[in-house]
Amino acid sequence: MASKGSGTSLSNPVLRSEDRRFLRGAGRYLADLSFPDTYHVAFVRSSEAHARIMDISTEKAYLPGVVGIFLAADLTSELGEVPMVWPVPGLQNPGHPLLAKETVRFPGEPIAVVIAADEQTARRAAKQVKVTYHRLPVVANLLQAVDRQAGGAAVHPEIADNIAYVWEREFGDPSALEKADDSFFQRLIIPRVAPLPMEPRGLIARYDREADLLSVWASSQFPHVLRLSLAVVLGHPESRIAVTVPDVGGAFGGKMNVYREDLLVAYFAKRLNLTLRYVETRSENFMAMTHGRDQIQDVRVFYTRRGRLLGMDVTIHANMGAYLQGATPGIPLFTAQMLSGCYRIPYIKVRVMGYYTNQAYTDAYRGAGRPEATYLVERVIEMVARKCGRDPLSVRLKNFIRRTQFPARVVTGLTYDSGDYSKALKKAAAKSGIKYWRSEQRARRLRGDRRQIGIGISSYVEFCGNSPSSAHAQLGLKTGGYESAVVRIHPTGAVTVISGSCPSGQGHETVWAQLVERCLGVAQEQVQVVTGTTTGTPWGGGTYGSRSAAVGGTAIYQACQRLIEKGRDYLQHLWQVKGEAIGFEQGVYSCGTRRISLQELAPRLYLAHDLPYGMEPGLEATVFFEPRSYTYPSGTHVCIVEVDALTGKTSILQYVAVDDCGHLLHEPIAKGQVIGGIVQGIGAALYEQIVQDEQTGQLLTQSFRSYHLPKAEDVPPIVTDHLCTPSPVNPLGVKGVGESGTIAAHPAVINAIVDALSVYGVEHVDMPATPEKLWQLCQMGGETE
Amino acid sequence: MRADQTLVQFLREEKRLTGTHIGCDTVSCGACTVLLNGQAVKSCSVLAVQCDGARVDTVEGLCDQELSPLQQAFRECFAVQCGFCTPGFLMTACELMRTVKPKSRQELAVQLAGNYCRCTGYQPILDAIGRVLALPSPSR
Ligand code: FES
Ligand code: FES
Repeated sequence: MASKGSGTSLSNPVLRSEDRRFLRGAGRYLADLSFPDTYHVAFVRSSEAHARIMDISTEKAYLPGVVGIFLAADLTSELGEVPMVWPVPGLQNPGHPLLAKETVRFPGEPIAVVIAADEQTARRAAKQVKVTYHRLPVVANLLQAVDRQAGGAAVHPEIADNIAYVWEREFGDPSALEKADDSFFQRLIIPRVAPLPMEPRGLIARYDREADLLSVWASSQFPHVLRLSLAVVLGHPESRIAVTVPDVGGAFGGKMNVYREDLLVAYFAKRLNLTLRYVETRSENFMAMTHGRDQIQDVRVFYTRRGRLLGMDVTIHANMGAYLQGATPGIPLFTAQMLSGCYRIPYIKVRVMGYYTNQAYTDAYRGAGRPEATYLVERVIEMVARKCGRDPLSVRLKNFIRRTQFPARVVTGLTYDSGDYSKALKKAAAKSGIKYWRSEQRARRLRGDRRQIGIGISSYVEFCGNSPSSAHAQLGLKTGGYESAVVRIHPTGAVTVISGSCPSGQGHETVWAQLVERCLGVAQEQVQVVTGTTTGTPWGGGTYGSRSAAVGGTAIYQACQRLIEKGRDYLQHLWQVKGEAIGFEQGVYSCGTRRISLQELAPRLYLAHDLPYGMEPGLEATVFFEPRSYTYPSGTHVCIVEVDALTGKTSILQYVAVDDCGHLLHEPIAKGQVIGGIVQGIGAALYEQIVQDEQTGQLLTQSFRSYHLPKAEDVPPIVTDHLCTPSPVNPLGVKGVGESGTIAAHPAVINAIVDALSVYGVEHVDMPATPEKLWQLCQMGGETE
Repeated sequence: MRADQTLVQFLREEKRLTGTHIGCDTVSCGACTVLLNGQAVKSCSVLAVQCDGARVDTVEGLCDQELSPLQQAFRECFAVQCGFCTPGFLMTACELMRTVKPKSRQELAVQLAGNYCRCTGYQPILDAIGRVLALPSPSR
């Protein structure tokens, strides 16, 4: 059904309804909300990566307007810690206090809360709080933790080796390796990057003592989870907490967490009976929002001379940071799950090791574990092709899961729903004119051109539709994966749809209204979409993991179906005919010459004067949709780069993306997700990295001046195309599209760069492929030649 | 008006014009771009007192009822996702349309270096502004 309907094509798209307000500057983001008598919160943050707190002097900080300054010792002991929902077996969890007490463990860790009448005063006062530190040895990055180079430094004294957990699995048949002709080892480093939504985080909390009602506004991806966490940590009745999420200026995983700052602001609002507001600065956002990726992957690859990938033995070293946020330990398990990529690999052994470091916590960032897996698999298949002297396209084709093999069970235990990997690959290859680029590449190599051409291919598959709750259970994740929807047809025929999804720029308002129009035949303009509130709504999971369409959309679809069924039941009674005899098309029931629309039935169902025995009045349905399986978007991206050996600079000349996300609910919006995602992937591949000083642990990347976010001029024209193998696991046939671009892009870019530099004997380069790094590789290669 | 108040603070806090956004504290992101006497400036980088007597245009003043052709182009090109960067891009584009008038997409992209967008990957924003400037569209 999703392929039908009007206005979804690129030529005549339905425009986004939310853009009317965004384009006039009438969006309402957290910082735009104002309440009378608001007080402002600022945090005193650690300037050290690892230190003992010797003294905190607040004396000079009581500027006029300061209401209070609170340290860890001032918090009530009943107050809980930052919630963590993924207790991987064997996990050493040191806990996650709301304020540092004796020791600070990462740069930016909150030490004290300052509350003042205005924002400037709060921030100035926070600067006046003097903390005396005694520096401790640091674990400044993952490599130091892995190498134990930190000279015995332990982030948490009770965890001497800094190892949070070890998780091991052996998948498939080890005897498959006997057929291998050869094996090789490779270390791949996936740096730490920051999600960096353009709107930083923030939270406003007010407390009504009479009603015992705690009202919270937050820039968040999941209001219900925030409410639950506040209830648990603050010990406040969940039913008397109202969370509202206004317009959110981007999130990318960074806002699918409940942070210390959130809990503290709400806690003090209640304790002091004040309206409190906290909006973080960009520097704070760099320091204290979750970071993403940060893995070191040690891989041994077994293959045949003909280019068949037979097995991998993988150790994933994963950086947790200093403390665990909601899902920190589990993200690398997603990497482990996806290690088979698009391929039939008979044997995979994987060991995931989590480490504590003196860095901010990691957690989900666009792709959450799957970009790391795709990067590994796509770098590996490329290396196999090179070692066998074969074309990387044909090696992929040789190892692909075939179209006829779906649903396809891979050794890691997942069952991929549908796909046609060869078709996507061939389409992408044709569209990007690989033959032309190969000949151009040959020509430049022959004439020893300083500007070398590289062709990078990335065939990806990922899981979306998060998630079947049973899959969470298997991985030890203590949450459910379903989503809710309420569809309510009012007595006048107007429609309200309440979804547990929570937009941060994906256009839910437009797409949900469009979906209801297609299901119920009610004009979009008459459909009111409600998201982002816990008031009067069923539990909602929120928006992350490319789940809105496949899980949230299906919940809406099913709620619509229930209403259609109810109308039919009523008409059976009214018209005295059998249900099967009543058709329903574009909002109108018909039987013979009789016709009536669902909207026309609404007032009668509310009047309830002539309902059949046992039928409830009203016309609304609530659905909790529990997906029975993940969905698996896939595709192939081809990136053409030019690397200048004299400067090390990479220019992306062309980027082609062919994606299979199943049916698309709204083609231009889906395309926008793909392109935006690709550019985030290009950013990580070429420029982005969070860096701390190796000796002191100081954060060196705390602003856009030291952290290179892709700019308009960095971005190549991106050509997209798609094919569609509808997902059989949901009635809409949709898969999910929010993360696929990012997931595919890293290896597409790096494979291209390595291909370009292979003339210099380069076999691998780690992200980010900066000019300095590439220049050096070219120099070294030039010398050995 | 406080002596140390920046123009963006003044607009947001005193005038309640919240369409001008704050995305950084290093004058990098351009979310706060307004027109000051017709020139695009980052309003976090000027003090409000410096603007005494000057003309300041913000996103709120771009249209009355109907969207302007520039805004309409943004909408039709799907150049808006979360919308946080949008006002800044619109204001920069206003200036470019009047003064610099970039001749190519590449030139336009270079001119937009002071405005960041984390959602769209810039392509649809370049499409939208390019459409208003009647730049040749790239082959897709
Ligand atoms: S707020 Fe970022 S440049 Fe002004
Ligand atoms: S649309 Fe979100 S930052 Fe540009």
